[in-house]
Amino acid sequence: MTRDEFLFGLEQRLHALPRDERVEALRYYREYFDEAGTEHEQDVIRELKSPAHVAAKILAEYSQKQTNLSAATRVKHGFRGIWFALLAIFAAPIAIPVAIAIGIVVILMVIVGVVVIFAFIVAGFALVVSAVLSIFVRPAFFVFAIGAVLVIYAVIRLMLLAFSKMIFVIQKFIQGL
Amino acid sequence: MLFSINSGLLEACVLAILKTEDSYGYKLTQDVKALIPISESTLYPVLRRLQAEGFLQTYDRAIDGRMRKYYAVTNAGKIRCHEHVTEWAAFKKIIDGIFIGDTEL
Repeated sequence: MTRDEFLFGLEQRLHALPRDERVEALRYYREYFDEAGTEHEQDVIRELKSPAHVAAKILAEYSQKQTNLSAATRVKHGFRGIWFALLAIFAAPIAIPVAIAIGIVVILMVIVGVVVIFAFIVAGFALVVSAVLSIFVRPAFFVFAIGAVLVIYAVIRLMLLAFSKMIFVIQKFIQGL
Repeated sequence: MLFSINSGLLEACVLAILKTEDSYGYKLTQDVKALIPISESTLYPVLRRLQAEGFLQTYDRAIDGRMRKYYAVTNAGKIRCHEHVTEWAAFKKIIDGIFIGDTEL
């Protein structure tokens, strides 16, 4: 592999990144090769292992950055975090079947999570509405419904927490490769 | 080495090295590698993170007809370095206490 092939491979694997992030990373590694000099080109390639290896680390870092962004935009960046964690898994130098298996597990967990959270939200709304309607008719049901809504809220928060932990573990795993 | 370096500690080391002298990607990697066993692809994400957190800034300098990107520690980075030194001293004290055995449990 030559330096140009390496950089081209890296660019290919970073195509999902925002343009400025990708340009920045490529510039760093282009400069890295320049500094090492042509006589050390093969040493650098050997040390960097592969474009996939380098790309996985950059994507994992970006994924982490997205997950850590401010609370105001948490949901949007949370999804970006998941997405880039997935991209990092596929860029990581692990066997393709393993990557596909991990990727499918993550995608299914996200789908299941979204569906369950949506169901809980709908149930929560229904409970709130029926509680308000029955406040004078059936006070006991009103109290029960408020309790149930709080439990649902807690479960949703717990699930979101579990998600962010899962992404964190994936990021650490890829950075450790 | 028996003990491995985690990303927080690596960040602290990079800041401390850059505090003594501005440096660029390749040289910094070689300097850190000479001291700590890291892979050559480890440093870019670390530098990027420190930059995003405002602890590092960069500037370009022309070398042999191309640009070389230098990393320099910001004022916030210097304050951060100071916190690292204090925290490390406290951490070291705990571990020393356990190893030498004069810690009261």
